Amino acid sequence: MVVATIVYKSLRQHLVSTLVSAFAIALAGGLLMAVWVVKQEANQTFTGVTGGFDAVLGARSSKLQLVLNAIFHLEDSPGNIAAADVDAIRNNPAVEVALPIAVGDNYKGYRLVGTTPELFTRIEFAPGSRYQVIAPGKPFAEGQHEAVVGSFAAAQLGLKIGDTFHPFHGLNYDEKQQHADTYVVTGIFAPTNTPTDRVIWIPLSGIQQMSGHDARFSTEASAVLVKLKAESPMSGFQLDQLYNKRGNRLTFAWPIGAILAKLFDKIAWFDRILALICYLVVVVATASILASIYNSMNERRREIAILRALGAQRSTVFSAIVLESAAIGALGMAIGFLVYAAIVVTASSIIRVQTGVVIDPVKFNWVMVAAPAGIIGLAALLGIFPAVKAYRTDVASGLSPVS
Amino acid sequence: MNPLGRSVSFNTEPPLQPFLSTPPDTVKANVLTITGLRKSYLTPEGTTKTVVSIGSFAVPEGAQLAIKGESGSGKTTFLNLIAGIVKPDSGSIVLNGAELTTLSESRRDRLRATTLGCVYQSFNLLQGYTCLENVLLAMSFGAGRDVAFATRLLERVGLAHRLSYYPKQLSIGQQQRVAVARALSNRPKLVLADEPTGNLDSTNAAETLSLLRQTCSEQGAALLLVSHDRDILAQFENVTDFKELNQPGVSS
Repeated sequence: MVVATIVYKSLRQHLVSTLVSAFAIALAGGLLMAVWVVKQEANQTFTGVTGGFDAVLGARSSKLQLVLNAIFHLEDSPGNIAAADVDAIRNNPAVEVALPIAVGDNYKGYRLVGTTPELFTRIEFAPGSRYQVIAPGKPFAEGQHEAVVGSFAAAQLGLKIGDTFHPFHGLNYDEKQQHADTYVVTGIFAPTNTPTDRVIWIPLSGIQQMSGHDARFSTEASAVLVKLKAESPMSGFQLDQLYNKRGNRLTFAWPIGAILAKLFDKIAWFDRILALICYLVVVVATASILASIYNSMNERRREIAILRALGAQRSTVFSAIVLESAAIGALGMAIGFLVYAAIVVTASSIIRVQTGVVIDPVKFNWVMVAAPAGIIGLAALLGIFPAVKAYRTDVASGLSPVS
Repeated sequence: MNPLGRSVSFNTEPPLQPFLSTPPDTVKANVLTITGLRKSYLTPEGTTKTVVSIGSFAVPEGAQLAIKGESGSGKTTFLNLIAGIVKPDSGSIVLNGAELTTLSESRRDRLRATTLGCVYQSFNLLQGYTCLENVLLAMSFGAGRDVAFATRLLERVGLAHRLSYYPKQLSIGQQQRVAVARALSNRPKLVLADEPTGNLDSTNAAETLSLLRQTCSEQGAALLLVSHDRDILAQFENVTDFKELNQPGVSS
């Protein structure tokens, strides 16, 4: 109790250095937690994004490119696949749903993806969750110039039901490349927190037959999203053999989650370097507490001598200094959560704008306990150095009159 | 951290009872008894310099004694020995019945907190604490925080309207009065005052001294004051010259 009073008074008396040290801790601790959480959440969320599919079938290319293009709507399409190939995978007895998609146009930077109305009726983007068109909207009709807009794209573009627009050619927005076709928005999707939120969905034929597109490719698709039957667990492996090992025209990217996980594995060294930098920043910030307390030990000598003369034990002044150091660490980490929140909210909004994937910034992560505990512990540990000085303070000389 | 009540005994030995045969109200026991006390320091040249060497000295309960001593005479070391801040080379210091020289440092710390009050030339108030907090902090090492008593003491020294002032916001005379209140906060048996008026002008010095003497007697505390100021010493009936008391040249 007395120690708490002494610590509180000392923190107030050295308010500026207390706040400077706490702020350094806040930045370092907030950064550490943010890097940790964003890394882990992004890893977990991205490898969990499958759109409800098991595999992507596309032109011969890297599996990663297929997944990024067809599931994340990010990369270029590696090329088209013929209608016969689409039919073949559709009719494969191991396949539950095969959803052909066609890409190649955008509206102000947001991709148009052509597909069949099965998107509305047969696809669960997450277990138990189908794509919902917000009332009073309705799905697009096959063969019509109609569009259903992902929630994020609709919000960004300001599109409402009944609005019309002219798509632009290509995956990147170039205002000189506008198509003559006019599309009507028939509905807006409820948010799914997946990349499809950033997409404008139109009928497959829309992309295939867009004015100016080569009529020779009007039956082809960019890729087929495949959901396998749950009762044929070996089918993925068999199709992998069929398309990737024996065939050489097409690539069967399966399983989707593992392909992303492989990517994260490849860049894991980067995570480790980032984490190492964060640890070093934390050590430097915590050392600043040590420096500020240690530097003030000369002026504290008298106060410590007075406390001892009043009857404070050596152990009391020792623990007061250790606790003061720990308290600055704790104060810093309290502010650190604000820094953390700011970084994570910013990072997650960048990730959302870039990919449509929403990572949860407030989800509990054990680093939110471990980082404060570690930093407060380190602060207390470093507080031992000035505390030893306090312990050894010579009372008689500390009390001598000041002139 | 664990304030001890005044009733706690620090020594298993019974208190010294030199006057057992006489009724306690006629002859008082000593609150402080010193015998054969010796303290030397090692000089930078490697020789030993004896600073304190006192054959015998006692302060009866409730008495008010003054010691006349010049600076550098070893009087501060003498007071630090009594306070248990400095450990003697040899001899005995019995404070309120406890043999100080055989106690561990932490027990001396507790004994100091519960039995002694100290007033210094440079006040030694804690700058980050208000008047009231300075007194309460001293209490928390001794008898325990007692806001009512602390307030009463500060009122007694004329600082009722300054409870939440910080030392810097007070005049030096007021600061020393806070120190007087603090010295009495644990209802000590003995108050040690080391040049308590050394930093005060003559008016403040006279006021502070009479306040110190009055409050000590009100609280039943003995007072041992060290000073070289003739005006101050003249107020005391019982003045000992430290030069006569302390014989560092003589082996005790």
